[in-house]
Amino acid sequence: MIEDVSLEVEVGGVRLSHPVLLASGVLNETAHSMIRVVDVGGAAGVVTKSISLDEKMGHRNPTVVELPTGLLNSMGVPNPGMEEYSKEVLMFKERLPQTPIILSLYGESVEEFEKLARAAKELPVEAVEVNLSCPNREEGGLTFGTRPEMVYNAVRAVRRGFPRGVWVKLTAQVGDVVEVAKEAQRAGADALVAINTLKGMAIDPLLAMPVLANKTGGYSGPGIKPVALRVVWELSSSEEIYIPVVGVGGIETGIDAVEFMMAGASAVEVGSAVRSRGIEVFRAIMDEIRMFLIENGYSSVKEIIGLALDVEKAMSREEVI
Amino acid sequence: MGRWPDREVVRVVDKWEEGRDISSMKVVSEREAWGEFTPGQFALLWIPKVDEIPLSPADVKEREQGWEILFTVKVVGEATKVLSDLGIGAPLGLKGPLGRGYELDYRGKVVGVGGGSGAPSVLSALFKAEREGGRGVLLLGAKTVEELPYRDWVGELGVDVRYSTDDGTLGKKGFVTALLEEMLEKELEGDEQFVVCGPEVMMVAVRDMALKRGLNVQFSLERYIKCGIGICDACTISGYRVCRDGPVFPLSTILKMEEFGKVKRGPSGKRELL
Repeated sequence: MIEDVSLEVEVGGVRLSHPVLLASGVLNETAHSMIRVVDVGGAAGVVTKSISLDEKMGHRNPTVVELPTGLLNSMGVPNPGMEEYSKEVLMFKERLPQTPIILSLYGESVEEFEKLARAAKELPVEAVEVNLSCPNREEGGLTFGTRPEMVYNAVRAVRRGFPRGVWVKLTAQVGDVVEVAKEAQRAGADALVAINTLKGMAIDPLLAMPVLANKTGGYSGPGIKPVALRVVWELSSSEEIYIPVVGVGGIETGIDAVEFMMAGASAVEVGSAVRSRGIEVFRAIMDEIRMFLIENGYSSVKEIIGLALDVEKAMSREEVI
Repeated sequence: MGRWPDREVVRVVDKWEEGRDISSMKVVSEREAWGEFTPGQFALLWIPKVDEIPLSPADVKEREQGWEILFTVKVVGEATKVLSDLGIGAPLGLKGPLGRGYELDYRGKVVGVGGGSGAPSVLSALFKAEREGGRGVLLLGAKTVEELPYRDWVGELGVDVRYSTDDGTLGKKGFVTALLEEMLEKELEGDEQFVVCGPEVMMVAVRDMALKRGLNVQFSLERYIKCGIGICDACTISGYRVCRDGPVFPLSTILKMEEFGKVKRGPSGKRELL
């Protein structure tokens, strides 16, 4: 017997046909790749590469190290700048007018964030994702994301300039992520995205030097999943946070996604898993979520959001089954 | 995937000049993955403290110590300059083989068409055909004789090689496509498998010849490669990742690429007209 379940979710002002999105930083420099990620890959929507006001060349190679537990990258936010990248956004929307595109913004000052937000307002994007946590550049990035008052100022600036969904991407590398998230929320964020890559390093023992040209980089993939899950759970279980959370960090399977949603995520983003499971990973995860829901008697994916926040509730469900 | 560390430290074991600003070097890898090397695939060569660049081997041979990989480097910038200046024994980081190579019947007839820095990629296909009992013709073109690699030694290995130079200093005067046209006119048997690598304007000409005559051609593309594993999108042409879906593509895929021969991306992802 084939039962059907609803996979639709709504998060931060964006309606999604299912909860699996492309994360920023993977296959989103060109419109063609983002279109392929949706058409061939099955993603419900895409987050773009982080875009700055002016063109950035990125770091020299090596920029990526493959690890047994994920990836380490230090691309250095290469992007052609807001004006040039607008063409990619327009091309994407021309081909896929119904598919949500969330524009990731990378500013190095509050003023830059406001200018980026105003430019984004003129584009057909459903939401913006404020990148306040990239570990790969000296300016902006982590400098913003680890300081609550800076987070407030940056998000406030984006909120002033952009009238639709404002998502804020957080780092796990702070003592109390809820304190930072509260500032984003107070500044007008519509959703939180957790987590960005963790700052890490790889050393080649024979050459006795860091592998990445930038020395340090952002660690992503299965190795960071427990950290990401913990942050999503902390944000979702805080009584002071009432805006939705998007989970990202090490999601490779539908079961990973289910765990994030049970920890409170309304949707998930997938990036590094493109390496291990190919571009079709988005549809595969969606199918695996659906299979889990059917096998466990759920009729909508919304039913599992936050289930693991209340252990008592989860146990009583267990008894029913 | 899953090999770790993903970069192996290898050393330059042999090295020689091929021409003006062109040199060849051999490194030896202990990684079994090189036993599966398909001509047209590439490696990332990490020049410590400088950069890491993609290069297609001109040959991979099994030796007692491991896999002997032949690279040919043309100086085009800082990284290739430093690489060219390395002495024997110098350490390099090696990652590969990466991407998809030429899918050929190597016992059949292979015609390689190489222009400029595309020569190593097509030569590797010819060497494999030679070893597996196939037949091969190699057409190499460059601006001038001093920019033509391999001419001192490749003929001795049994490869039927023909040259063209823009200035007529060696072989046919003109582009390598003129050499190809001449071959098609006089010798086309119909069962040839063509592989082509070189400047995109040259490959556009070959594409058009392939369409006109119904040739079986595979193209190896060059783009700005960063990650080499299909995630960063730097090398994408019309949605195809050169580092992972390519660098070798059949004619049918080339025809779907609206950016082929027209647009490439710079380091920032900015469109640049070819």
